[in-house]
Amino acid sequence: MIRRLEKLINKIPSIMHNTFKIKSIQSVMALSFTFITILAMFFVGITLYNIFLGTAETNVSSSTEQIMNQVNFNLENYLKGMMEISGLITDEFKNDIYSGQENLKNIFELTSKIRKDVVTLTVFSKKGELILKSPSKGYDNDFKVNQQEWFKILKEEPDKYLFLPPHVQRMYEKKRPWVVSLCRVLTINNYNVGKETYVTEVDMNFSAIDELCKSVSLGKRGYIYIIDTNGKLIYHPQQQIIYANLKSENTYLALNKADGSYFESFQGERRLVTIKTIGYTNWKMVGICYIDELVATNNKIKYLFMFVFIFGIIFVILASVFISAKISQPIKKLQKQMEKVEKGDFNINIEVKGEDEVKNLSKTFNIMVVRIRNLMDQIIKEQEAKRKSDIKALQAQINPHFLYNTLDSIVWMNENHKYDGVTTMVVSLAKLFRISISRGNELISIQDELEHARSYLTIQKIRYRNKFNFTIHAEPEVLKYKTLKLILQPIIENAIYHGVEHIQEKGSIEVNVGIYNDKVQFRIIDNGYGIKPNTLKGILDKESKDDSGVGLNNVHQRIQLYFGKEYGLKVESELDVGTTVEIWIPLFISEDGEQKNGGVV
Amino acid sequence: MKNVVRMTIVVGCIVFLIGCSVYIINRAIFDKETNKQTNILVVIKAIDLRMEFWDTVIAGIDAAAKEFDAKVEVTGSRTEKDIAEQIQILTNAIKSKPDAIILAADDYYALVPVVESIKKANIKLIIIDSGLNSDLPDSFIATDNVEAGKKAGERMSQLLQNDSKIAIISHVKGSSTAIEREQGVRKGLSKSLNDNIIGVYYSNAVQEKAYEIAKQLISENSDLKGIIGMNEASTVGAAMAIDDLGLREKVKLVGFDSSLSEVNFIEKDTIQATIVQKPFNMGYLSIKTAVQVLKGKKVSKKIDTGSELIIKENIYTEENQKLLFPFMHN
Repeated sequence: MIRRLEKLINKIPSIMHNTFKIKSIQSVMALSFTFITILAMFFVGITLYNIFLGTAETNVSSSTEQIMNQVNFNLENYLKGMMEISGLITDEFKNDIYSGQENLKNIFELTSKIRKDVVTLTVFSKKGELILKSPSKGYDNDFKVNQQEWFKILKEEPDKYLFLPPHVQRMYEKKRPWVVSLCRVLTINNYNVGKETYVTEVDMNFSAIDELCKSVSLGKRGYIYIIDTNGKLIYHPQQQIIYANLKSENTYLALNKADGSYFESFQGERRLVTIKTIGYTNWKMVGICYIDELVATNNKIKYLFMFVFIFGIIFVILASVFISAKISQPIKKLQKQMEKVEKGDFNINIEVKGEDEVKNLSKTFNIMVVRIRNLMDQIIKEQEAKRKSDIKALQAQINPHFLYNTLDSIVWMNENHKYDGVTTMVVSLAKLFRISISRGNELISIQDELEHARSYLTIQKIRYRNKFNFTIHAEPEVLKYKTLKLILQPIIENAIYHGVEHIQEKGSIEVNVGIYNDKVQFRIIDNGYGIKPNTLKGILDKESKDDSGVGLNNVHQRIQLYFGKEYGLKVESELDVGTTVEIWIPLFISEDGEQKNGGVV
Repeated sequence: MKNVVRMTIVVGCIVFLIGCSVYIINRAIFDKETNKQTNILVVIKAIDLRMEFWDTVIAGIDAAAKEFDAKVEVTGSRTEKDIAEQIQILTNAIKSKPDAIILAADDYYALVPVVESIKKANIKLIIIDSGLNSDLPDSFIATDNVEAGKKAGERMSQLLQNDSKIAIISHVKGSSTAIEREQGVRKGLSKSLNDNIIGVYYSNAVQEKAYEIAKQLISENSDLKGIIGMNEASTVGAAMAIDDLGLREKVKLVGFDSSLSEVNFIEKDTIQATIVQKPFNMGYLSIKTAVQVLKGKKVSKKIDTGSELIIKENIYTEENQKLLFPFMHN
C-alpha cells in the first residue's frame, strides 16, 4: 500500500515533465506541493464535512423524534378525552334512562359551550333514531343517520369504535363544517330494560388538532401532518390547498414505512420524515423537517467552507511558489555560472551558499574549474615546448654549418680529383636533405631514419678522413615501424664531436635497432672519449650549450613530448671507454601525428 | 521571457481565486437580504361581503400569500357595476407602485386604457375571473366560462321539455363572464329552448335586484318553466324568489357558484343544479403566478381553473365536498 503510494508520488515529477512540459525545479516543486496539498485539503475537508453533516443529521433525527413523541402523547390524550366524552353515556344510561338522558343532555350542552373543538355530540339508537343531540337547536330532521355508510357497518359490531376521516357534517341546517368524527357503539346493561345498543357520534373540528400540531417547531418551514392508513389526509397545515389539488404531499412514504425517521427528496428538497403511529386510531403522525435549515447544510456554512478552502489554496500556492523559489535560487545561480564556463570563461568562482547539496556542488564545481584552467595552461605550455623543439629540429634539418663544411669538402675533393668521394658525398647529401625534409612529416619509417643516419655517417666519415668506422644494424621486422625523424643524427653528431673525434685510435660508431619489450630501441654505441660523470648526470636536463646543435636533451624532450614519459633517451658513458645512448620509442605503425604541413618532397 | 509568462499565470490564478471567494462571500452574506417581500394589490369586482365566491377567492389569495411570503392588499369597487370606481382605484394604485396587481375586471372594454398604463409602469398584471380586451396582462386565470355556461344550458335542456319558456338572469352587462356564460348557455341549450328564451336580465350582481327580477318574471309569465342564474347573487336571488312563491321544482333553476345558501337550496330542491367554479384555486394561483412572474419565470398566458356540475345527488362525494365547502381551519 505504502509502496504504491510512493510509486504514485514518484510519478508526479515525470508527469509534470512529460504531460505538462514543466521542467524547471521551481515549477515542478511549486506545482507538486500545491497539487498534493490541495488534494489533501480537499479530502480532509470533505471527510470532515460529511462527518459534521452526519452528526447534524443524526441530532436532528433524534430531536425530531422526541418532539413527535411529545406531540403524539398530547394527541393521544386528546383522543382519549374524546373517547371519555362519548363513553359518558355508559354511566348515565346504566341506571335510569330518562334521568340519564337529562343529565347527559346537560353534560353535552356544557361540553359544547366549553370546548370550542367539539362541534356536535349525538346519540342514536341501533335503529337510527335520534336520542340526544347537542347543540339542541338547528338539527336537520331530514338527516337520516342510518343511511350513512359508517352507521351501517358499525352498528353490527358491538363495542367497537371508529374515527371517521374529515368530512362535511350535514346534521345541522345552515352549517356545513368540516369535522372528524368519533363514532362508537356501546352496549349498556340497563337495570330495567336490559341490554341496549347505542351509537354515539362526537364531531370535532380541527382547532384542537391544529393547535397541538402547530405548537411545536420543526425548523422554519417544518410541519406535522396526520394521515390514516388508507392514505386519507386527516390533518395538514395546508389542507385546503391540498384539497384543491394545488399542491401534493408525499404520503406514499408515510403510508408504507414503519415508525421511525427517514430521509427523502421531495420536489427537489431534502427532508427528514419522522413517522409515529397514533394510538386509539389508525392514524399516523408525520413530521417534516427541511434539511437545508440545518446548520450544516445551511448554504452559509457551505459557502464558508468553500471560502476557507479557496483561501487555503491561495495561501498554499503563494507559499509553494515562495519556498520553491528560495530553494531553487542557489541552483539557478549555479546554473548561470556554469553557462559562463560553457561559453569559455574559466575565470569564475562561485559563491558557496545554499542547501548542503548545492554547497557541495558549488565547491566541487569550483575545484573542477580550477583544474580545467590548470590543465589548459599545462597544455598550452606543452604545446609551446613542442613548438620550440620542433623549430629547433627544423633548424637542424637545414644546418648551415654542416652544409658549408660538406660543400667545402666536396669542392676540395673535386679539386683533388677524388671524384668517387665527390659522388658519394653529393649523393649522400642529397639523401640526407631529402629525408630531413621528408615532405614535412613528423614521422618517418625507421628505414628512412636509418638511411638518414647512414647518409650522415657517410659524409662525416669522408670529412673526417675515415677517422672512424660505422655500422648500422637493424632487425628486418623493425624497419616498417615509424619513428620521429632526426633523432639519430644529433646523437651521432655528439658521438663524433664529443666522442670519437678526440681519440687516438680508430673510432667506431654502431647503430643498432631492435624490438625489446614491445618497444623499439635504438642503440648508438661509440668508443669515444666518454662523458664526464658530472655532465652525464644532468645531460638530459639542460638546454644544449651548443647553439648550432640540437643536443641530446632536445631529442629526449621531443620524444617524451611526442610519445610520453616512458620513452626517451638513456645515456651510459665511461671515460675513455665510450658512450652508449639508447633511444626508446613505441611500436608505431599508424599515421597518427603526421603533420600535413604541405611540405614538398 | 519564460519567467514572465509563469509569473503571469500564477498571478492570474490567484486573482481568479480571490474573485471566486469574493463572489462566495457575497452570496453567503447577501443571499438572505435579497429576498425582499413582494407587494401585491388585489382589485376584485366588488367588496360585497355577502358573495362567498369572492370570500373564497380571498381565502385562496391569503393561503398563497402566506406560502410565498407576499404582502397582499385586497380592495374593490362597491358593486360590480361601479366600473369608474374600479378604474380610479387602479389609477391610484399605479402611483404607489406595487410589485404586481391582480385584477378581476368589471368591464371587458372599459378597463383596457388603465391596463395599458399599468403595464407601462412596469407593474406585473394578473387578470382573474373576468377577462378584458387586451393581450398585455402577464396571465389570465379564470374559469372557461363558455364551457361552464354550456354545462348549465345542457342541464336545463335535460330538465325541461321542448318549447318550455326560460329566462336568463345575468349580472353586469358588458362583463366578460356575463358575455361568455351567456354564449355557453346558448350553446348548451337545445334548439327549441334556445328559441324560447324570453329575455336576458341584469341583476348587476345584487341579490335583491335578482330577487325582484325573478319575482317579476314569474308573475308576468305564468308559463315560465326555467330560470338560469349566471352568478351567485343572481342565482340566490332567483332561488329565494322561487322559494317565497312556493314554486319549488315547478320553475327549474340552474345557477352558478356554490354559496352555503345555494347548497341548502339544492338540498331542498329549490335549485336543481349549479355550476361550481374554483374560486380558491383562482385566488391561490393568482398570487403564485404573480410571484413566479416577478422571479422571471415563464408562466402560462391562460390558466383554466375549470368548473363542475353539482346536483343534489353528488354534493357529498369526497371530491365535491372539498370543492363546495372550503376547508378553513378556524
